[in-house]
Amino acid sequence: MKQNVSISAGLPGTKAPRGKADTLLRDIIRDKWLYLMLLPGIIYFIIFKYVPMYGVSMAFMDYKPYTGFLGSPWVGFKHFERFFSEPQFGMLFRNTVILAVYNLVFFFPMPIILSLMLNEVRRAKFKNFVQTLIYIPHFVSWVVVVGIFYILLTTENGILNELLYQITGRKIAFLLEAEWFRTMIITQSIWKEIGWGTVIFLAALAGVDLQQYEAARIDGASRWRQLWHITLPAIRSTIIILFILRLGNFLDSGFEHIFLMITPTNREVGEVFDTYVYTKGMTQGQYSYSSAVGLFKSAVGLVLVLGSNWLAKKFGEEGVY
Amino acid sequence: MKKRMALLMGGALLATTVLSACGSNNEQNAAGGNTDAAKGNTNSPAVEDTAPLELSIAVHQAAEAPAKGNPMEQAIEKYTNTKLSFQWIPNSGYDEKINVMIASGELPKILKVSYVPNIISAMQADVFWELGPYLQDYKNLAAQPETYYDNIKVDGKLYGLPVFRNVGRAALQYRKDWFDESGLQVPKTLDDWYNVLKAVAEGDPDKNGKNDTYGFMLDKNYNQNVFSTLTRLSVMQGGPNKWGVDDQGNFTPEFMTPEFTDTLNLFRKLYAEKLINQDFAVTDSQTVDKAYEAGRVALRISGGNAQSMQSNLEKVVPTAVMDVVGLEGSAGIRVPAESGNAGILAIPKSSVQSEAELKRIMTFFDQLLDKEMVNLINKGIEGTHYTVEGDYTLPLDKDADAKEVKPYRDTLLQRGESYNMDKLMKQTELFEKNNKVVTENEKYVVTNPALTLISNTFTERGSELEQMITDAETKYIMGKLDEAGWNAEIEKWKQAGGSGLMEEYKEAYLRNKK
Repeated sequence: MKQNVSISAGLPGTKAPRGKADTLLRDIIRDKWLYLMLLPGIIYFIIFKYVPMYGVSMAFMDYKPYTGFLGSPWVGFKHFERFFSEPQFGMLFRNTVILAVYNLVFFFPMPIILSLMLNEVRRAKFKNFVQTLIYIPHFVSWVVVVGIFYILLTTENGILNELLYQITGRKIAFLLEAEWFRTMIITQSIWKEIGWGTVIFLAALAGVDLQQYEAARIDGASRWRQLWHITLPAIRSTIIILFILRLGNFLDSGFEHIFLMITPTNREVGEVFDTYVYTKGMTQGQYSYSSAVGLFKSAVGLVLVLGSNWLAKKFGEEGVY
Repeated sequence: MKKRMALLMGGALLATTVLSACGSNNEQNAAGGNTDAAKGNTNSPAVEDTAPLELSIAVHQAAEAPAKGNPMEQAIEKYTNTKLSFQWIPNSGYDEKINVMIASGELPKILKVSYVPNIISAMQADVFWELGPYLQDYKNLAAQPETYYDNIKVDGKLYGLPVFRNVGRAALQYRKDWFDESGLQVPKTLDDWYNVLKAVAEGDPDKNGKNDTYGFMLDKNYNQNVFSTLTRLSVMQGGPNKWGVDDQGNFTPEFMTPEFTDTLNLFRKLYAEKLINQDFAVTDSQTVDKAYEAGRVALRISGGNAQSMQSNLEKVVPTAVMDVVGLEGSAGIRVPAESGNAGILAIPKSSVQSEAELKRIMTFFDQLLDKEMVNLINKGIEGTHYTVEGDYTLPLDKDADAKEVKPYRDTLLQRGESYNMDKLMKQTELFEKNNKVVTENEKYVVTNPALTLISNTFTERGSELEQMITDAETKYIMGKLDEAGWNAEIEKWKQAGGSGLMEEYKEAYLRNKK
């Protein structure tokens, strides 16, 4: 990761800045094939990411599909005002932030720990086997994951609950109790995504110079010491970059997952911005209002990325850009 | 040089992938364009009568989508001189998908919509053709009972045709063999219900030595829409259907009536004593269906037919006997009226621009209620799906019927035996009995006075308000709310717009009355 960043950063302006536009043009002519190869990517972003952004303007209109963008009146920040004064706003905000913090605290370190553990495995064959095995849940859709958990945890003949009943003599309605909701969400996320999350960290770990371990061993460092002084510092920048990227999606709670897990009895802790946008926009057709909510969410994400990137650079780390 | 060529080709390849991605979008547009071309045809009267009318129809798909151009479609096309292209949209989240279609502006010529706030405001904004004035010109359409049309009117105007359904479909289906054996009676009062459910849950009627039977089961949609079990039971006890209204036009929601509260208390008690499934708030209807089919449950209130339950049940429990009765409670037979349709077939103005084409489509609808089409849509193709025997027709292949005929029967216009069917389908006694209950129900239906009243609060936050109450009902039944908590939720509902809703209904009601 680190290498990639430095290469792309080094490409355009390797020579000293001397008449900026002039050198840029010369660079472009010299590396024309590379720039040409860049073109499809740029076109992709313009067509599929930037052009659709005009839809954001919907958040500032009273958009009606039958009158279209041109026929709908502009209303300024009306929808934002409604959102912030909505009695549900506090609940939504709290639920979303708590889930996001849980995600960062409990979910984010998991792949790192797992890849460190995998890294310590001596037998390459066993390591590969485990790696393949833990990737699999990533390809299972949320509907299926939630279905599996339902079968395991339902109080009507759910396997785990029956087991629990045999041991403790009582059942726990994991799927219904509000206090279990966040635990369930985080557990399921970890189960599904932990393996996939190790990919990048394992790649970073593969790049650590083996001579350093050798030197440390000669100096008598234990495995823990090696981990602390060699491995972790080596992947620190990877961790920070992924952390910043993760913050960009801070308020994304994973709509599908949450939506499937919400029940009447845990709604007060389960309803988040994503599900709210869905109910308002898709089921009730309040397109403008739900775009405003979505836009608010994105704005928070942008601020978090910019802020954390700035902070990372302050501490002498390499940021995302 | 070679290297350059390779690079160039690589670049070109990438460019084409990007372009082809756009291309697929264009194709869809082209499909839209086709319908435009067809429109051109109908505008010129010379071609109008001979060229088949191109008709795109978006409807819900229950099970598997039928193949394009199958014999059923061909038969309809031949009779009505049309070229049909159905878009089968999966049933789950249907309304949301329709919202997206409307938002994106890519609409077929016929669109099945539901009578929900978003569609109602689309109707008010003249997105669909108003069909009321044309109705009288079409003999079959004009011959249908007014109520079906009244139930889907918006501000007194008709913006689509109802996919006809009986208004009182709910009946009580039960395990006659279990009842006979243990000398139980079909429950009437809420106390009866409690006693019967307790007897079944604790009595091991299937004699397998396990405590695995229930008298009744709920799924997570148990209190939603017109199919709400709570509403059905409380109406049986004399309660209103969703909304009660007095002489002065004051509206009371069902959950503020004593009948409804009693029903809620019944379920609260059943839940506490573990006499109904404990995980109902997360249970899919399919899971509950399976339990019924496995012979583990005694009673069911549903709009289905006892015969199909019997057939499914027989595969697992050969000795099982199902029976069916009307919904009779302490107040006699009372059934909450459903809206009398399974959706509305509307014609968007954006895809059908000329009146001439609109009339063609109306003719198509009218033809669907001709004898030939009624037979086809209800029974399928003679020789494949049914045969004629004397004054009756006999079903031949139930599976083929479910796969090939049912999709059309469910989504196109038909009123079954009630309109234009010359020879009745011979059915089993149980099937007939269930049908009779449903027909009889029409005499006993309790209508929802707020059904067609328009309220701003409802349009803006109706589903939110409804969810507040349905969530509270679940919590109350599960014992997570006590009586004070339940009353507090009602207060919260009033504050959040419920009182406004009651006022607006009253206003609209009095205005309509004048």
